[in-house]
Amino acid sequence: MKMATLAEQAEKLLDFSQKLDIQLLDNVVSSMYTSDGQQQRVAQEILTSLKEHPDAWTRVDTILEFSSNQQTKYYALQILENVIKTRWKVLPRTQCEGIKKYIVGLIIKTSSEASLLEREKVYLGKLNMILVQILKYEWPRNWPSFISDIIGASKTNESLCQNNMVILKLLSEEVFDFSSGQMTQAKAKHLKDTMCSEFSQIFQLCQFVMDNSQNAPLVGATLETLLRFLNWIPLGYIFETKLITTLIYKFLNVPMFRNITMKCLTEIAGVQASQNYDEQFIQLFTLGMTQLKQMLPVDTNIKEAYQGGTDDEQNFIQNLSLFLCTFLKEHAQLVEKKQELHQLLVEALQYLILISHVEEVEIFKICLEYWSSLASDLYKENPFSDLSSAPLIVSFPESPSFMSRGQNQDMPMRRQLYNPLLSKVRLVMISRMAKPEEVLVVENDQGEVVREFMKDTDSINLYKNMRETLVYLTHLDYTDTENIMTEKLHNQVNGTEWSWKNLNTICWAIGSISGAMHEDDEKRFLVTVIKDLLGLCEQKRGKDNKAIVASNIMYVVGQYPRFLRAHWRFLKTVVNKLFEFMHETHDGVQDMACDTFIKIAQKCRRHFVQVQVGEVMPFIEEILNGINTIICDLQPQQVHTFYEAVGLMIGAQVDQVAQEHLIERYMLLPNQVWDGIINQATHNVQVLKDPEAVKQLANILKTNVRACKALGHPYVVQLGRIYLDMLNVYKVMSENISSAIATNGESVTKQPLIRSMRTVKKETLKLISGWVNRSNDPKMVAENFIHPLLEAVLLDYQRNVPTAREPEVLSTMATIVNSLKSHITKDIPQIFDAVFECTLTMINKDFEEFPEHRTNFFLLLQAVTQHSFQALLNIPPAQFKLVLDSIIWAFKHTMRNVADTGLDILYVLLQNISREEGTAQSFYQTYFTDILQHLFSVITDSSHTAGLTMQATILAYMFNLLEHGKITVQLSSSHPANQNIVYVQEFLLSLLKTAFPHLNEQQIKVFIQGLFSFDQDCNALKEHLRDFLVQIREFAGEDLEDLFLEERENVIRSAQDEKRKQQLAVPGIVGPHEVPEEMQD
Amino acid sequence: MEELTAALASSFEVSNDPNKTSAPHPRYSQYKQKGPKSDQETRRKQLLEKQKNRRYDFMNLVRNLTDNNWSNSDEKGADEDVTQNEEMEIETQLQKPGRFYKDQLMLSEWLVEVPSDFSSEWITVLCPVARRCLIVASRGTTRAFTKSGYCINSFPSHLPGGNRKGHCRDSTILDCLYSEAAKTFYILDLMCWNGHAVYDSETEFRFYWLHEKLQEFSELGQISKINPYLFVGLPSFRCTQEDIASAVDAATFEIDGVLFFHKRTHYNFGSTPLVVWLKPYMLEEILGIKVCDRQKSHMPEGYTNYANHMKQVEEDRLRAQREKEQRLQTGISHRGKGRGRGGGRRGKYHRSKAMDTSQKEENELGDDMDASELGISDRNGDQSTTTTAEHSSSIQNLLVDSNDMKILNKAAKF
Repeated sequence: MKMATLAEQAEKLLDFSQKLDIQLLDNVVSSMYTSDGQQQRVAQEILTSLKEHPDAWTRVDTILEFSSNQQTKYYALQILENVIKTRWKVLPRTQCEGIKKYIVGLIIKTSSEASLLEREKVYLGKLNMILVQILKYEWPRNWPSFISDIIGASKTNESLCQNNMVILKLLSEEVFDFSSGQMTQAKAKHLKDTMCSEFSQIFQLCQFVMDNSQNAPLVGATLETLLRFLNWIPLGYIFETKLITTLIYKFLNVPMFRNITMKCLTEIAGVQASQNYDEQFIQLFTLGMTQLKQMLPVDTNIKEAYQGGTDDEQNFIQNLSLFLCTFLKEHAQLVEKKQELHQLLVEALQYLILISHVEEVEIFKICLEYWSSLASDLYKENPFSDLSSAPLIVSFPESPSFMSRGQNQDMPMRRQLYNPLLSKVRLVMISRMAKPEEVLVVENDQGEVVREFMKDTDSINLYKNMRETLVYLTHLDYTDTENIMTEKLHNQVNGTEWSWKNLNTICWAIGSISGAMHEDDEKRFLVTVIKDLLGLCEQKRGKDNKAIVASNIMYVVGQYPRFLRAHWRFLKTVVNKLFEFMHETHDGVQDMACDTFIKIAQKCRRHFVQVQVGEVMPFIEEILNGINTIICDLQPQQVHTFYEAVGLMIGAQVDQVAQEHLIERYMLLPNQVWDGIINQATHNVQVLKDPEAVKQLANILKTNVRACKALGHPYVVQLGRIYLDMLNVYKVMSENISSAIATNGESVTKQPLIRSMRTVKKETLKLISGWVNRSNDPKMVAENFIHPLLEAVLLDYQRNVPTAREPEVLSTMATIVNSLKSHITKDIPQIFDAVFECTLTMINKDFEEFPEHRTNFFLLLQAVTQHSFQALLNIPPAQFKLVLDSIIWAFKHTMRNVADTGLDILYVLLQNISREEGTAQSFYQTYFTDILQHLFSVITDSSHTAGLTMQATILAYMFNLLEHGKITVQLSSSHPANQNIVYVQEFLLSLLKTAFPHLNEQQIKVFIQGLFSFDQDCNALKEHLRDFLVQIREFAGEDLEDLFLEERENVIRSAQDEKRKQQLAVPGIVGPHEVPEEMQD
Repeated sequence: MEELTAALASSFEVSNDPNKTSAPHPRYSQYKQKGPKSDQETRRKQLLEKQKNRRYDFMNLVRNLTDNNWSNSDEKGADEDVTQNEEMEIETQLQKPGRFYKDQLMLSEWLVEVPSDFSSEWITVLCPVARRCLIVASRGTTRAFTKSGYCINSFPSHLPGGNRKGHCRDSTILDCLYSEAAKTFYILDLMCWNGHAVYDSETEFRFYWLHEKLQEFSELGQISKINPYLFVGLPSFRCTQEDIASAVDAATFEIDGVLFFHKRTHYNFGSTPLVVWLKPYMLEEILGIKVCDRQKSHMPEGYTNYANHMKQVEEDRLRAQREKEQRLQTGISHRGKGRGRGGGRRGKYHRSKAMDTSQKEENELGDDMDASELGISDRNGDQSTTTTAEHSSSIQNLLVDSNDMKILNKAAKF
């Protein structure tokens, strides 16, 4: 089709006075799907505008009947679905009936014949969905007989019955699983009640099919439907019928149905019922296990079976694991109580152990969850009993008190039952231990390569869970854990299991149980482990192999700080060995050495500043003596890590004088270079434009940042030394950047030299805010450090072009306010003068530009509101309005963190202002309704639902202010102050009516009433708001019954009563004029 | 425990280099080195023999280094070659250079056995406290690399090929010591000057050539816009007691250590017994050279001489042994008590109290420290320096007001 004609013809399609040209529509649809470029775009536009036409739905029947193109039909159904979802209530009833009948007829026609049903699956699926959408409005009020109708129809024809099962399944899902946020609470409850009360008919149908049908697809569909029902139907249907036996005997062993049957059984196993159904649960377990053993012998190698299995078989293994884990977690106790069932229980656990070896992590997680809960249960049940101590007891046979605590008597019953299997679980945990954490190398915005720890929370969680499980298992029998680990390690040494991956895994496992053993046992165990690993390192050839073993040795050692602290000579040797590795050029060895060094420094820091037995001076002295040599082969980032580690050690020196002396020697090297550059710069400022000098400065500042991080407040000695120079360098860098931008335009900021100059600025700010954050004397900081900082940084920020303003200035100011609190209040006007307006103009154009400035700006505002509120009260009204406008601007953002900060600030602001009697009233008078209006604009905007909790909290707070008479001024000139509530209600009514003309007034009134009734219960208020969000999506029409307004009003009234009752219970809460008559005497 | 510590100290290593200087001197180490390693003297002989028959395309290596183009180099670097290397552990191999800028330097071993031909066949060089680095001047820029191949700096210099004014095909490769504080590169050895590779020349020649060239290029010793760092040749001396002693006394910089080069060795890669190293305070004991007290100031605390040192080691060991026995005894009594209480001695709650509190403190201290925020490094290596020698605008702003500084320092004392 030609493009011009296409556009031209489109006019015809949109002209509803003409008869629809089906051929033309088909053509447009097919060019939308098959052509490309301009033509496709035009086609898309035509179809969209047709879809949006309010009368489009009137064409649907014609299209469905006459179109030969499947995609066109699908398109028509989309139009229909759309109209049902939003405008059903405003359609004339006759039309509704018409659409309903038409769809039902179409479904019956399409599904009555098995071959057609199979062929038109997708189309039919869409039709089914549309029927369910209709049902959500029509059933049960306008179509009370729906359930009987569908059941009756099902009996006429098997393929029709099959499709009806699908419809019932969809209905169940819509009502029970996905109703939240799609239907109002009242409506969802009404539908659920109806479905439960009519369920017996549905159940009979299901049972009939399961008992009698030979039609496999029908049975499959029935089981699928049943599965959706199982989580809500009354328990009697499950346990007082023959459902369980039918499922197990008839369907579990049929390959075609085993997966869906297993899912049903899992759903049943997960039911938490009172003891009434114990027998049935036991039956579920015994019959299920017996059947399973026939299908899958207990000695099958499930790991291999899974690897070579089909999708269906793999799913079965997964479903089986879910069934067993669910059942055992909920009902294992029933089985444990019966001696005769122990064999079966053991077999079930054996299945799980075998499945735990399957190399699919999702399946492993299922099993892990169970093992974790089992191990922790067994441990917590009796934390002090310990199998390993049993042999000791034997050596005192003459003592009767020990005799009676012999092994079997001593061990709790449950543990005796599980113990033999736990060893295999230990083996699973040890041979699959997950990676503890991972180091990644990434490039940051400044174009520098930095190392970051991976935020792969999934794999970190896996490690955490496995570690926890293994620790519990170790507590249950540490000798067994030790034996397995030793054995596994021997297999590395003798080569039978040698591989890098296996070695890592076993060492991670060994590292994971640090602290679980008694110290002496741990020591004995570690000595063997380290010996073995050292032997392995010596035995292996090639630096690659040796480096892997070495890093594993260091990993294990680093995991056991208790051992290191108890053995100084060993600790010292380890650290010296790490220093040796810092000169090793093989890939990764230097990194490993630095990472291990800081890990050890964190945990053993005190030992390095004390004089140890057999030493003449603390080890820190030796480190500082040789620091030149130690770090000479390291890269800058490794040097930074090294400095942080040494800083941690120095931080552990409690004697202040000694510590200052150490800090001085510690910073000697960086200070030498720093002084060199500064001296040169005092003679010639151009030095600070030399790329190498700028890079060196950045590097030194980074070292300082790390030192400060490690030392905390005592870093002040060093900070004082470089502080003013640093601020001057900051100013010079900033001027350089500004002038570069002035001459060459903003693109110059991408140049390496300018980027490293920015790095210097950023690191300076990072250093200062890092230290202020860790300082412990806010008064001293405020008096001595803040003024030079503000002078150097603020004016520069204000004067600079927006792109050259560092967002870190704002976050540094926020940190300062957070740390110094009231000590900084007097400086807030200066800070605001410099940063407020100029930042606001950067971010008030849209919601996206300068994201970092945006975030930090509001964090600063939050800090001031929270800690220096007095400062906000002192600023002139015009500026205060600007602040409030910024807060409102903040919570209108769709950037989640900004919106959240905005709401937080508002909440704190409201709370703080309520404490200022005088100011509060004029604040309410000016801003109360304003704030309400803006809050409602975000509450009713579905893109802000993430902040609903906080929005509800603030609303509740504001309504409470009103209700408790905290607002004593007139909010409106038309209403006296004691009518404020009435005024606000009217205000909201007119606000919402204007905003949502498609809702009717009664509906809005009920909503507003609810806002006041639920203001004591934030969760209820949140649900109430959510209901309203559902309502604003639909045209209400004239018919109110479907809105369940009456039911809702009842709920609201009872909430109001409840609230009143609570208030009455506290004497004086309700004013004397509101107290009911009979209570006045 | 003692045995384990000894094993960790002595036999735990990634590279298999004997007498490596990153570990303590074998004579002063508290732990005996394990394993059958042939003595330095034998290995020296073997290496000098091997060197004669060596065929290695040094010009190709020079091209790789100066053009940073490694496509035609050995796929395997020095690292990957070690498997083969270690098969013949006893027989010493000549190592190959690494791929890229890694492992391009000749490294020393500790001087363990004083060679018989020491005074006739060796040359000595005093090393200042500084960082070892590889200098490659080519294509108009001079770059400095660490031992592991990390580019630490790039700048112009008067070295042939080191600035944009010279011929672009010129190139120079040096082995240097870099003092950041003194902005100086001390030249230790010469591998290539102006495109002529001297890797396979003997030490005497390389040193002679270096000093000839340095005299020719005297502007290397002056800081200027085009030569922002000083290049200074390190003088070499004959290996006699008197020469070394007077050199040490006359040194103008803080001596990190003394290197001894065999006169006949070529420039090899990695650790070699043909270059050996001593700390100044070891000179007296190993070579019988008296040094002034200043040089001894860096001697480890408690160091006297080898005999005393060994005595100290023995004492340490005995004391450790005693402590171990004591601990064992207290451990046993502790165990006994634990048993008395029944089966629960191993539980988390039964740890000795002292242990519990100390660990708790450690944990608290450790909590807010995070190893994850590692430093950041610059990678903008290929920038040429654009220092302008304008002295006109001295900056008042940068001058630190000494009064302010005092106040700050006072503040810091709070």
